[in-house]
Amino acid sequence: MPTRDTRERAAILQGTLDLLILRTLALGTHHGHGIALAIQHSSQGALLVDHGSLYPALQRLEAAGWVRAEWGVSDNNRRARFYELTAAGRKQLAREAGEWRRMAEAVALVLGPELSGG
Amino acid sequence: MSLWTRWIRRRSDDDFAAELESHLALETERLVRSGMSAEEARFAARRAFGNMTAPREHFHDARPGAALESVAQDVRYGLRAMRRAPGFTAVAVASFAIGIGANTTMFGAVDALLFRTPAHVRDADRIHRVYFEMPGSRGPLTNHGYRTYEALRDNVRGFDAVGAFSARPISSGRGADARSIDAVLVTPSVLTMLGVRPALGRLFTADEERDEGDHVAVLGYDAWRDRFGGDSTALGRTIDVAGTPHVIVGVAPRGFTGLDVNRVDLWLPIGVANRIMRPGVVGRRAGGYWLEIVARRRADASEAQLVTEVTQAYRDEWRGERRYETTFGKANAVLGPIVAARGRAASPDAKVSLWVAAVSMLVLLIAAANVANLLLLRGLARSREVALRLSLGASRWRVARQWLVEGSLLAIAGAACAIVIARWTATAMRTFLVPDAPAESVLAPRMLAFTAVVALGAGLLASIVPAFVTARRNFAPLLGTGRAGGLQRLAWQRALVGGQVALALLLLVGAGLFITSLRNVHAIDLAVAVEDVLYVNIDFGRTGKMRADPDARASANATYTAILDRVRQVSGVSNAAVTFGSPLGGGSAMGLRRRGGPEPAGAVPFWRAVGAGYFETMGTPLVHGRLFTPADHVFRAHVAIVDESTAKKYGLDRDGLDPCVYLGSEQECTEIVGVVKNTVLWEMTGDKGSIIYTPFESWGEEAVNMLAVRTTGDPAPMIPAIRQAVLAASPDLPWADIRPLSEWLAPQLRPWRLGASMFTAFGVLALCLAAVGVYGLLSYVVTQRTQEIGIRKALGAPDAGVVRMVLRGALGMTLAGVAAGVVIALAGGRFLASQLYGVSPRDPFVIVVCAVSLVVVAIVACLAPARRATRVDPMVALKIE
Repeated sequence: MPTRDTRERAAILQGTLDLLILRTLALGTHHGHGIALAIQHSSQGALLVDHGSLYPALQRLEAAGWVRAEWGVSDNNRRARFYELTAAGRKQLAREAGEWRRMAEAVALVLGPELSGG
Repeated sequence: MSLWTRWIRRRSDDDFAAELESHLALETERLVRSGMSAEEARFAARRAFGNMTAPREHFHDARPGAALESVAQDVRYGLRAMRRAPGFTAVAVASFAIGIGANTTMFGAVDALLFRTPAHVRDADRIHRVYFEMPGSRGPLTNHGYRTYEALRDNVRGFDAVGAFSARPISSGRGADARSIDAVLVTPSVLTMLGVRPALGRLFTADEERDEGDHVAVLGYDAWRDRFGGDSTALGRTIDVAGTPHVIVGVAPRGFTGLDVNRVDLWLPIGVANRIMRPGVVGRRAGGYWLEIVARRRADASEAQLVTEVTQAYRDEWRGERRYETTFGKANAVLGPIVAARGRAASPDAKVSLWVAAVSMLVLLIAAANVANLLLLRGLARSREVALRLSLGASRWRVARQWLVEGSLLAIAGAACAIVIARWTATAMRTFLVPDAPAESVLAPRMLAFTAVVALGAGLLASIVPAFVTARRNFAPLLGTGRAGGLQRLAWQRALVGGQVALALLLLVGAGLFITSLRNVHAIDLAVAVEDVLYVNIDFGRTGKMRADPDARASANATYTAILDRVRQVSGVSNAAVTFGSPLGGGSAMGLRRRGGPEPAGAVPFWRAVGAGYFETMGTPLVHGRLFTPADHVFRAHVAIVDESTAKKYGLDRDGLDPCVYLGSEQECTEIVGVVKNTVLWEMTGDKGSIIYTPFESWGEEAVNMLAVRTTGDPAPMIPAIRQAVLAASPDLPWADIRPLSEWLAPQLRPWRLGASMFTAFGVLALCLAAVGVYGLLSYVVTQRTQEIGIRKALGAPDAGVVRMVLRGALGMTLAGVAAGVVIALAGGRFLASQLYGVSPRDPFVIVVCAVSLVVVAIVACLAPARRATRVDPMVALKIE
């Protein structure tokens, strides 16, 4: 059942994807498609956003009150739903980003310098 | 935040879908810009998205209340499906209504008999009824003498309270105002041990047990309300108890009925028995088994230990008494539960009720199997729909759940119908089984809760198989043609129909066995014209110490004679006679010695002193010799008549009548002038006889206590006329108990009547349900095989062949079901054996008749589908493709 698989993947990615979305929206309003492209861009193509999990994630953030959305018109004159960070979302971003950095540093410390010949 | 949530909730599925569409459009555009063809780009955009439905479902399911909403959707869908197939829905709902209705009907009675502990009782699990069982006896002895109560009270340390009680009707008031009151005589300890608190006033004090000081009484709540208007001034007023005024000191709480379920109007100290029964029954003397004993176990006493202790106390009581040492002196104690029906001494009614309740469960099973089958067949008819839903991404659980929802809906509809039906049937059943228990509506919470639980259980039971089959089946091949296979492939369905047939057979066999038992019981020659006799009983003994007072006795006898004269003149009365000793009960014992012979060992015959015309009134036939003549009565002749078993026992049947035997302690000869047939004694199915009859006038020392009246028609409607005659003869009498003799036997017949009628009713329902099962399955198969049948016919198969083909399938599963049913009936029959009379639970005739009728019904159920099969037009059938 595809349903179940998607949900599991979403669960794994959840924390990270939410953080990335919030960060992207901190720079300005975006529609879903734009968010996906922006993440891809800023990670220099390293992070590929699964379009299938993007919208459930947005949904969650919206429900949590961290983003709000409104229908609007895109640059190329398409109707799209635009997301915007709320004040609560901004606080959440700061909190999550801090946690993520601490986590990344800790993981980096554990990993140590790159081992050769491994 | 809450504003946001509200907004989210308002966001529709369509809105979300639009967002996804817009995403796809944007992505496609981007890809086109990067050089893809429009076609490729659209495809790639979609692929990048993965499963389009998943996020939408996710969106949908993640919303608050989504789970509820999806069930609501299932319900709506189920209701629509039910509406679309009204025939199917009607049969399924009717099946459930029958199954659930049967259970609701039985529940009220079984609940009152079995599940409820009596109201207002504390520590019910520590309260025991005390029985004694003699080795080799058929059941425990439930009634005891006062002395036994004292022995247990004084000697058993494992009890912290012991009490005794006796329920009996009591005459209150005189003449036209006289009435019979349902009273219970108790030791004060019974009420304190049960922990009951009075609604008003007080209960009895310990020193009131013997009724030696002021005469007191406690009113039942309903009697207080009905007779005293629920007025607190009832306290201190008096109520007449068999001629003695008793002061009302309290009112029992509402609904309190002691240990039993019957309504109680008056509570009296046990000592009253000395006045209304016989002087000395409440005293040190042995004899008289009229009390039930109840005791409360100490919290720290184990039951096993107690049984030993009680047994010991009981055996000690009888030690040294020659007559009882080998009987009661060897008895073992049995501690029964407070709810008598749960224990060893359950009444036959209670036992049969339980059987019937179990049978109603079987009916429900059959009904559930029926609905399961219908759902399965519906499922096959709807398999394209199911396959479509699955292929569109619905989860199997969701599809399976649809069945559970539909099954539950059908069950709920069935339960609603069942409640409507049970409003009558449950009341009737309760009135029949526990007539004196307070009535309860089917809409009472307990009844509704039971019905709801049964309905949901039945709904789940019926839909679990279809749900399971749906979840496992591979539907893909069905998407094309939408056809399912023939009978061979419908294994579940065949098993369900076979199971229904097996259960239906069990019920039919049960019905057959009970009907045969009832017929056998009716065929017993009671040697009494039960249907045409009623008796009048005015217990003067209740109003005074009759035995000790010859004048009172003479006046009572004179009153009876006066009544007899009046009653004989009532039109419709063909004969009447006075008697001492109730016609169906025992009475005093009377020894008989033949000249030169010792008294044979064993039980002494009962003695019955009868007035002129007694045998003619009772319809007891003479075997040889003669009946008493008027001269015997007038001249107080020393003559006697014995019944056949007495004659046999004393050798009177070999030697003929005897001119001189000695009765009791008499030194004077009595002549045996005739032998009559054995009459029923207590139990219809028990041993008959033995009885010695003497003319009433010859033995002046007993008081008449009964008047037997023979009527030309049904005796019941004559009761008012006879009561008038009684009052006309003597206007100042206590309550006259006037009842048809058949009413005495009715409680004995009831278990068989109940078993026969309920097993038959449920058996017929089961038969109908099974027939519907067979019919439904066969109809479906014929519809499914229309094409095959058409081809066969096109190839020249005769109609008979087609019918045979349809019947063969049906007979196969019916016979398998019958075989399974017979095996279960043979194996389980012994459990029913004790409820039957004169028929083996494995009676071959009953089993064969039931099996054959089931097969016949199954064949009849196939006829319509078979005929439909013969009408298949080969051309039409072939064109279906």
